[in-house]
Amino acid sequence: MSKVKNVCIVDDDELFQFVMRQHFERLDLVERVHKFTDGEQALNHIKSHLENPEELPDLILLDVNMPYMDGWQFMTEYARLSIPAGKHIRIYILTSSTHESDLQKAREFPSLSGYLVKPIGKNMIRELLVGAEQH
Amino acid sequence: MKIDHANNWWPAIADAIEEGYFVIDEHDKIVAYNQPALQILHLSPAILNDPACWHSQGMQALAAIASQKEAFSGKEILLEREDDTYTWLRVNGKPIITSLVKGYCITFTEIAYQEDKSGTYTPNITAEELKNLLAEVNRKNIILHATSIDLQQKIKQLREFNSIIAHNLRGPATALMGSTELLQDVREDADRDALLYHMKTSATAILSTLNDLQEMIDLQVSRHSGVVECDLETMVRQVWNLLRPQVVEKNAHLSLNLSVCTINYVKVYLENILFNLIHNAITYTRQGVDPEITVSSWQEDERVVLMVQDNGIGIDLKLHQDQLFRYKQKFHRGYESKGISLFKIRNQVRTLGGDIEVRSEAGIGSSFYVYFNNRVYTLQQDE
Repeated sequence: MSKVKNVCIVDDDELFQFVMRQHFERLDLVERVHKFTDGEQALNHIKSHLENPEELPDLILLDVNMPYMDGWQFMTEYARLSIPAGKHIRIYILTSSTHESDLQKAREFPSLSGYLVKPIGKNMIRELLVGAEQH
Repeated sequence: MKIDHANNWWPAIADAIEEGYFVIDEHDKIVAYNQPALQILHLSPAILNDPACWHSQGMQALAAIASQKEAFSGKEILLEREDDTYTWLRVNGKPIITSLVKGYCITFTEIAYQEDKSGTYTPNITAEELKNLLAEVNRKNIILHATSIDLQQKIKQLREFNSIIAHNLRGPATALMGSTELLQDVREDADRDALLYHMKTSATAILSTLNDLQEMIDLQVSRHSGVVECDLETMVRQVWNLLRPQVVEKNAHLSLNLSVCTINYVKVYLENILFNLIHNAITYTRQGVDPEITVSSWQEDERVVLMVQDNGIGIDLKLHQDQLFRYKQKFHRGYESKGISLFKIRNQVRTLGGDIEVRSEAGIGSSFYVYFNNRVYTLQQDE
């Protein structure tokens, strides 16, 4: 099975970041994991690699509630970027919120691949990585 | 049997019915009436001979209806009589047009009156009583309005609770949950130590959020205790002294423009509001620009407004308006902030029936407006 090249975890929760990274390493399905603790950092990372599609993330796991730039603001800014044709970036919202209003908000962004409510178990992570999980 | 249409019976019948009536001609002159009309309105027959009688206190309300000369029925009016008593009347009106006369008939009965055993009417309400009742209604309306604002605030606060639970409690809790699954797989000591360290951080975050939530709820429960008259200038100067090290370090200047000198409030809350707003103003400053901080107060309708204005880095409200007062939200990198102070201020202010707003422009400065609702005391009295 081929590995996912670049995965970005955008979440200010250090424990979540650590747990996800550990799972990734154990599953051995990811080449590189990039850690960002707010939306702005992640956005800057993407902007600086727009010329180099190989380095752009293939999968982004995005928290909603973050300082400086939250998940929704990130999505708004992301929609304005011109991602190189042929590059497919899957973005999943990963949130602890079960509120209908958040789910509703997610529907405003067609570029989202899915909305997942934490906690995320090992099996869910595997599905995310092999791309079988479609919401 | 021959029915007597002549006038022989008519005066007796007119006085025997319960309704009072007046008939007026084209010139608004009263041309007929019955005894019940006089009884209901507490009038003497003499007054009806006066052409100006329609303008008397006891007749005005009827005159107003009659002047339209239209047919209507069942209109209810409150009538103030000549002797300062009040009564509710149900009134009908009808134009009378025959080949002989052209006029207007107005009939009325009392719809609420007290009748004692001897059959005499007693006025159902005096002017004084009505005045008191109106004052009471007015007072209740104010309380109702204040209560409705208070409820709206409470709903907002509950939504905020809900959001804090969804993000700030469920967040670290789900991370802890996720780490339990991982724990059994982690063998290396360094990884285990790191995992435990992060788990402890999450548990601490949950506890601190729970403490803040408890503080919010405590505030709701004990919110009316200890409202005193607070002298603004004294309090601002105290806060400024507390911040002396930063004031000196940044060469900050303070101006006061206090049209309202005192605010009735819980002293520690007002201190807390002033401290946090001034502290923010002196923290988020622009490099190379001496901080100029102005504290103003003024009366605006029924509210007292307190403004804390600075010439600091400002906030991009287009980006952050929604989150500015939210729990644990941060906007500026490189500053020590937990993102709690504005949240707590708004919660305190709203709990006591006020509100807080901000106007700001990135790179120019910010103005925070705190609205103190001085009507909160009526709520207290009624609860």
